[in-house]
Amino acid sequence: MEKFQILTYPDERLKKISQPVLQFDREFKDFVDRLLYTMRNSPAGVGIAAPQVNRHIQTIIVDASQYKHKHNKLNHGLMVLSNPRIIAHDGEIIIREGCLSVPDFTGNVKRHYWIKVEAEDINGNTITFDTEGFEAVVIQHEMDHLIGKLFLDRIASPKDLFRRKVYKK
Amino acid sequence: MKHFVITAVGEDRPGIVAGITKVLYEMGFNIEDSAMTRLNNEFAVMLIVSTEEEISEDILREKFSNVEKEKNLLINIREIPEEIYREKEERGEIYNIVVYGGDKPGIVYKVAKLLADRNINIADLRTEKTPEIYVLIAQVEFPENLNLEDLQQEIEKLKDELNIDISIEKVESVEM
Repeated sequence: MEKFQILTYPDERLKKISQPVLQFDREFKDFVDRLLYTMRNSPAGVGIAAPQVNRHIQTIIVDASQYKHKHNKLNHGLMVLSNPRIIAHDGEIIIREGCLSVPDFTGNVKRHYWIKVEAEDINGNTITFDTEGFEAVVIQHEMDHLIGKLFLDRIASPKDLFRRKVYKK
Repeated sequence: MKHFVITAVGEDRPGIVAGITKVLYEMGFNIEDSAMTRLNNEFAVMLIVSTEEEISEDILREKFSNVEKEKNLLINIREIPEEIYREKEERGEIYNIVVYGGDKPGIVYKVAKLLADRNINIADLRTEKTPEIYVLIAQVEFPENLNLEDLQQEIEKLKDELNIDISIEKVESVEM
């Protein structure tokens, strides 16, 4: 399988709004397989959103299970979520986020600590679950891609943006 | 490519940044790195700038003389020799350190000395104080061979000596 090419900012296609997924057919599932392959073969990838590979549909993949983080005590493993909605939230958490589409920076971003999510699974069945901490942050980060937002849109203060340790020439 | 470091300090007022960057823009300079902030009622500007042109420190100083007078700034300009200017490199692991306690002389010095003695590099440091409480926040780079247990013991000693609190947290960033 071949990886998708990941769009990187300032590519303006990252700012486009994605459309709901209506057909959970073979073609969609093939796309999800390749999206997952792209995420698995990106460094430390814990999540990816369809618009990051120039497919503007409301699908995200999240897998917080592989990553050690102090706020990652509870997670649901690999999830493919389409048309995700946050229907309740509580608390706040700040995690330093990096993004495959913004390779030169990381930033401290404030997110909801606890969220209740409604979404469609890979077969189009509606599911509801709640999660917290690290997994909740990853879901919120990926959902932002669906509305054309990057973590840079959420930086609270100049002191919360950091250049990567290694500069790219 | 020529690089210069420019610092400017003056009483805070609107237009300092615009005044300085107008000169740079008109001369075709690129701002490579910068920190600009208000400290009490003084505004401090620190810039690393670059140009392809053969410009000397003296010419640059001359170009800044108007804005220096107009905004009552103290401007300092120094060329960074090519052999010294370099892209930043990875230097070990990044940690955040927060120190807070009752205000007393020596907090910054003693924390900085503890770090310096262990070859821990400070990348960024800020302090804030009220009449009672002193806060120091730093981003530091731990060398790879650092003995964390030894460091922890030294920190405990310093906490007792100065009656302060110190927390150290590794900065992790995650790709999403």
